[in-house]
Amino acid sequence: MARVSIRIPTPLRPFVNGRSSVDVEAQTAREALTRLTESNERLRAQLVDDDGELRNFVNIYVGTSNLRDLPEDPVLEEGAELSIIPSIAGGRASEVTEAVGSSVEAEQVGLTTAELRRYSRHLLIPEVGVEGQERLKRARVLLVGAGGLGSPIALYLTAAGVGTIGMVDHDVVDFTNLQRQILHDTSSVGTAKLESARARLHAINPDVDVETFETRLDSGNALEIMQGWEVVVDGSDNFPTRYLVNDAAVLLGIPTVYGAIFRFEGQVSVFGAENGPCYRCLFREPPPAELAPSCADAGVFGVLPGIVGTIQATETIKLILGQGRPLSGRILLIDALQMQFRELSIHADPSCPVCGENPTITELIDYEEFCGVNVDRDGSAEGVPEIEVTQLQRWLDEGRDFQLIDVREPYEWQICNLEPQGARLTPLGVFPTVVGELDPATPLVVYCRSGARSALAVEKLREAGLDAINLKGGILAWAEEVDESMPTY
Amino acid sequence: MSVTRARLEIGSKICADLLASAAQGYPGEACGMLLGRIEGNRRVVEGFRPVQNRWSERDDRYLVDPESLRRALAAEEEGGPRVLGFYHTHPDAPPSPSETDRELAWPWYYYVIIRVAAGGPEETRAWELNPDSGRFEERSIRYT
Repeated sequence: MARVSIRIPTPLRPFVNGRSSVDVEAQTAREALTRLTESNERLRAQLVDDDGELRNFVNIYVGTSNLRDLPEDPVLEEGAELSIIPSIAGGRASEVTEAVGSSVEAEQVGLTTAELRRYSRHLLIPEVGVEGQERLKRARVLLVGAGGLGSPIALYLTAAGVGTIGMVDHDVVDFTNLQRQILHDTSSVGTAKLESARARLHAINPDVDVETFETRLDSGNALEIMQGWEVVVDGSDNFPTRYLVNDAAVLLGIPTVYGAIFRFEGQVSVFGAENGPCYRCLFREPPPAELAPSCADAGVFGVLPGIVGTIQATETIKLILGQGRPLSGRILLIDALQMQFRELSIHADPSCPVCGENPTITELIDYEEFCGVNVDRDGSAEGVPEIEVTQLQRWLDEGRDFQLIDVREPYEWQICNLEPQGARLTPLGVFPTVVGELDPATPLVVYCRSGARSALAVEKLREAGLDAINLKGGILAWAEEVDESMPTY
Repeated sequence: MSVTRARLEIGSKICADLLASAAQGYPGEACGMLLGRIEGNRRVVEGFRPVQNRWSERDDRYLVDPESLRRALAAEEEGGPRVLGFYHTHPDAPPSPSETDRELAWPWYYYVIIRVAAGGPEETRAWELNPDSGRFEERSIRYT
């Protein structure tokens, strides 16, 4: 009899109390295996078949020789070493096993000791408990937007232990974001929002996987990006993206947690849940582009996205847990100024073009066009004559005769203006009353912050028979290309 | 026996080299070992070792050369890098485990499957066998 040691590969260690090697007394290699497995039925089943033959996906090495290559069962010397070496094999087949990708649901996830501690206040709630926390851990939630709404949503979902959080955004952190976008801080100004978000979320909960998509969501990439997520949370700030997210989610069969904000007012709902309506059931068509200003144009009360976003996070977690009554078939209207919450009942519309009985939208469309947004990169509307800031500079240098009109609000004028260049403040709201005062014989150059509002003004002025031109890119373009010392907002 | 549900992390340089190496086997299947370290819930790939495909009878199968694996596991015992799993290619086929992959799979190890075409590597996914269900579960790969 020789005392020999058998090395156990990692996958089989659970069968031998986690040990990496086991000592046995035996004369031959096969006898050593018998000793190893005789009182361990589960290990035996892994190594030999019903006839006692070594399974073909296992190799036994005696020293450096493969037992299969040896003519007979070798006699062992004292201190000999045997190794169980897994045989790793496979291959492609025409037929791929079902299950897998879609088996996320069936995945067994346990909670580590550290996780049990971290989520202990959740585990105490019967509606969450260990099972619910495990559901959160294996959940995959995609956030569209890492801005005002995306910030509180991402922070709370991360803290709550949602296993994988995807984020789509293509923006860079700007000083004007910090008043409400609490994912980012002063030090992250100028960096990509997703980079800043990733660092912040990792600091809160390093166990959460953050998958980032640094791109603008569009009809070409939406289905690919949104596929495979359990819930999509819409934190976007414009109508084309909202319709795009809704349509893609309906086509993919994923529920959407919707949120929107305007100044002091917010809306929240859950769309695309079982038997529930979608965004299009409620809003068949977008409002005219000029009535749908963005935060940059209309302003937003900084705390409001915090209120709306945390409600979106709440609804997301409820959907994952399958607990409570989801905000589906209802839309919550929030007025922060009056501090009133109102709820409206909404219903799935059988004639809805995307989720109805006879859908006409069966693939993604051009959402910019659908929403009537003919905005180029500078934010200027198409179809009105424009002048570049550099050309305006030349006109000024040449002493050309024209009127320079600023259609922004007075507080914007205070931050920066072209008064030294002869500009006159005429906010859009008072515009109709002053049109008559303008000299029709002198051309007008009209500007705002980025060129969108002034384009509307130019359109109206031209309708009134005046020779008006829009300053392309607005005062932001002036600050960037002509006067870098000018403060921007 | 439970599954680990760790995340596989791989540096972009190592990954690029691995994909280039694996694609060279096209139209045959290429295979190799993933070596590295385990840190909490992460399996960090620090290197890979292509190994000879010993399944010579047909080109839609692979078998990791057992002697190479024995040496890698012996080195691991001596304090060398851990054998975290294996990679193999699916020429012109999706990077999901085939029935053959499933039947021959070991638990614990991660199986990285790379779809390759004539033009090179196309898609990479990672899988771990759940021994209780006998099914593969997908694991996330983070490229660092």
